Amino acid sequence: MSQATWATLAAVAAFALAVWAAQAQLNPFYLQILGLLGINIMATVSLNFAAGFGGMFSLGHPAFMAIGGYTAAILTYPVAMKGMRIPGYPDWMLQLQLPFLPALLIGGVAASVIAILVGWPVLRLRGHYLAVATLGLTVIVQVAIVNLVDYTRGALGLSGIPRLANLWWIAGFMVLTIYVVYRLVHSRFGRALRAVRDDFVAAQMSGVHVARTRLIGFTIAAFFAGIAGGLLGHLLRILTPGQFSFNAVFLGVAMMILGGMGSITGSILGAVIMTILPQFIIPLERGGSILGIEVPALNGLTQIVTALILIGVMLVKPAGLAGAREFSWRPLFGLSRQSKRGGSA
Amino acid sequence: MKRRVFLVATTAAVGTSLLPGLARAADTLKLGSIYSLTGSYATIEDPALKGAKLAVKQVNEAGGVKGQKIELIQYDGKSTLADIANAAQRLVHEDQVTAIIGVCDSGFYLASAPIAQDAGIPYLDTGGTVPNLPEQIGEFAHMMPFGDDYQAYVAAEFAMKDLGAKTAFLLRDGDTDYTRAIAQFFQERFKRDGGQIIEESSYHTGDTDYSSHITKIRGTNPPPDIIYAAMNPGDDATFVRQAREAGVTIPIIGGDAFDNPDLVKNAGANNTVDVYFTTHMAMSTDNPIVAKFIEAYKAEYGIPPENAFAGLGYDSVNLMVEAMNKAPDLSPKAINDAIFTITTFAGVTGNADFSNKNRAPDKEVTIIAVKDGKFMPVGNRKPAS
Amino acid sequence: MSELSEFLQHLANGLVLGFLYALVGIGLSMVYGILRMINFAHGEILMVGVFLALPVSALGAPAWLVLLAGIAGATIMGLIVQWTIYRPLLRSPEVTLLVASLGVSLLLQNLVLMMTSPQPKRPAPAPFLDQPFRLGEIVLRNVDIAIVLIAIAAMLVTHLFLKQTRHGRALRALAQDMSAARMMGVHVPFLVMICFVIGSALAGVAGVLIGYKYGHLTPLSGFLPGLKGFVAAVIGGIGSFPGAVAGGLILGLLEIFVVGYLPDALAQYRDAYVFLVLILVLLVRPSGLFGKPESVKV
Repeated sequence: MSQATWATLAAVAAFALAVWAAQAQLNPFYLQILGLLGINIMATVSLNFAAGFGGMFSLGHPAFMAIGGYTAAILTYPVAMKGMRIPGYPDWMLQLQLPFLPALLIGGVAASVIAILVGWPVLRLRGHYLAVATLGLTVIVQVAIVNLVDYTRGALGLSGIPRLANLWWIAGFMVLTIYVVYRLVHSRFGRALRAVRDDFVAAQMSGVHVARTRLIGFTIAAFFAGIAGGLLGHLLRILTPGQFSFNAVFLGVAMMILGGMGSITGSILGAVIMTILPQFIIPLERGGSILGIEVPALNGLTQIVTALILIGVMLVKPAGLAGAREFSWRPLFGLSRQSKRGGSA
Repeated sequence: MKRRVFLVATTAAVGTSLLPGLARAADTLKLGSIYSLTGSYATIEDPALKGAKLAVKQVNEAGGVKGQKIELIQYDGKSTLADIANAAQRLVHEDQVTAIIGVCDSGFYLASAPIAQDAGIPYLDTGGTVPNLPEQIGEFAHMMPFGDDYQAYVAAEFAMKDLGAKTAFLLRDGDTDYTRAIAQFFQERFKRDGGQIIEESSYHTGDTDYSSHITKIRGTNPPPDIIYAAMNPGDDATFVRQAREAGVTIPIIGGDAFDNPDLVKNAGANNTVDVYFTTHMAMSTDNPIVAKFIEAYKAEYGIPPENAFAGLGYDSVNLMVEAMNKAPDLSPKAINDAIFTITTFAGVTGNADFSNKNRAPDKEVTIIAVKDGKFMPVGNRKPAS
Repeated sequence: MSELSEFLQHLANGLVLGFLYALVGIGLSMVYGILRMINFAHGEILMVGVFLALPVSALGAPAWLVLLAGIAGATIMGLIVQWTIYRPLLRSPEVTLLVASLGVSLLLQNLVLMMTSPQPKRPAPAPFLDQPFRLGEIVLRNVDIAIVLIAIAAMLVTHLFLKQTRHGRALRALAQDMSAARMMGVHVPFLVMICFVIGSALAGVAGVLIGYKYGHLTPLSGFLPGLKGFVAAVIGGIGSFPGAVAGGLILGLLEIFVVGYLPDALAQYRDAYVFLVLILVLLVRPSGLFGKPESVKV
């Protein structure tokens, strides 16, 4: 095995150790932030797979997260409360309670099925037109959740979801998402996908089935979004339609573009910045005395700093922090001819 | 790449723990609060926080609780579910507060309350009004306001008995749980007592144009006796004004969202004739507790309370303080148990009994009639059983 | 109220609403036509414009002066944003501009919130605008008539500018083919600026009219008009001036009639129908009802 493979294996082992240490040592506040981080990474990497590598700029990702999240939650929901809170389902569904893993996977599949049904007509659109149409999907799913009260508990939110998603589950699925997306991008399929993104006429002429390739890419992204939604519901123990609104659309796009479209490393970076950074600013917002100096309350400081970072990064690095580059061990080991170019940061 | 995640994750974790919280005095009693000061809930939760801060200031000036000053540790919920859940985690596990007050939305409460429940920290809901929130969470969950059922039942009974209404038109914000719930409870009681709902119509959060609903009302023949407007704060004035200016003079009954000076300011005194609402407190009343609160609020912030949520935030702190004073010691568990022993709390939002562990407090609902641009109390009532 | 009057009243309500959407949509559409950029901060420009006009109104200025103040405020804000943030990104990927505009939107919302308060505000009442305007059983207010007239006037001016002036023709050339226009000696940055000036000014008009009509303004008040204007522009054919007007009217009428004539159990899905129509329009005519098919360049 090459040095880089060893390094990767070592990193995975170190990562597992870190997850173990975190789960054992950190208090629930940190576990929740890290959990949200893992979920955001999953969501952003999968969005980037469709948008960055597949050229399908989708604003429908929150819709798939909602579908996967609600499906999984309904399947793991305690039978005792189902009849009272979500009585709309047939009896056999009300009596059904699945373990976490199958529920998550079914949630992912449900998101994929919707992705196929929606993607089949809609993926004919390109660029911003596709973005707008998929934004429509987000709105439609949200409106449906609000109004199908007997199936979703409506605007109040489906609370009382069992807390099943610990850091192991989230870290595991996060690594799986990154691994699968990485392998797919570097597979024959990934090359076809990028070919379609770059020039679909040329791709078509060289024998790529454009529509099918796009649909498969879109569906895979939706599957991981669905899983991310399932994890989110079982981490926060509640799902509400408000979680999958425009804010979620914007946040997802911002994380992806901040890092760089077409870079897995970038998506991870974007998610880390947008998830972790606010946690440092939030305590400063309420004002009070910091190091002896009286500071007034600064409501909205987190959003303002986030906005300035977004704008600033776009101005300085219009292609995002990582651009389309990926992390590599080479520059670290000084192995590569490419190390002059800086590898990736 | 993976190593990067690990590194970032651990440095982030270590970093946050190293980040100094704001300097705190020793020997203070930490009361946590979660109010959204940004985003769509800021309109109601910002006044709630102002009310809470005022109460903390007054309590501390009067010597605090059992010789200890109260320190209010507030985080902005940002009207976002994850931020609210994070704030609850932070208060419970980082700041290690003794008790929490906060949020004016039942969904936000359901998202944050299990965290306090698991840690055994009492958490008082300031303004979320689903009647059985405590039952849904557990023994550490408490509610300050009355439940949606109370105010909607009282409104329905008021409409039928006092206004002699037989038919009603129902307008509701279809996107929020609160408005759907009071519309539902109103309908339930109105029908039970022999009334008829002629038509329902839903608007959407953020809508400012009610012309289609108003045209529907005008097209109803014969016209309904009353309009029940299950709206969110801020929407009330816009709707009332548009309805009156389109020539609809039918009495309008609203919920506690109507309880803000902007109703008259933004709709105009001549447009608020025959407007009634149910609420937590009567802002223009001779009740000395309320009058004192309003005076203090004006002195502190230069404006009268923006809406009833200011009173609820104020009462939230005072209820917690009363429980702290009653408790044998200042442990979260003792304070929590003390809340259930409070049966005659006299707050600015009414007299309340907190002994029921499963439900909103037993509290009178105030009915207000708007006359010449002033809020005139009609009476304090509880629904007939 | 007779059924015919009810129908006509709904029609009138829908048209007034539609003109407001169109005013917002035009600015978005023009910017998209030239930069291929979805400007998510357009609604916030509207909001800032009317918030800057509020003090003028509080001083007792007549409505027309408040309107001018709103136009000036929005235009200046639009220029600042365009000059400092969008201009350096002129040749960046489209998504970069999109995310920058998201940042601007977040920034403006929270800056205004920090400087004011979350409580709703309104311009000082203008008695003339509030007076009812009756046509048989149909009741509108003078402000509604003002909205329609001002919107039409603003559109006519914009239309004449685009058709008749040198800069207007250059703008249209730019929308068709930027590099060709550049080669023909068109000064691109200047024209992009003009485009933002027009869009922001129209947003300022819409903002002040919204303020007078609804009397309910918060730092978040720009979001929905921005979104609706965008939907209107896409339905009509984004990049097309008449398309944005038609899209606005279609959207306004659709929203009003769905609520007016569908039973509530169905009408509460209003926003879903709106986007369903949007998706269907895109599928049948990807470049909107009035747009010209875009050459493949994505």
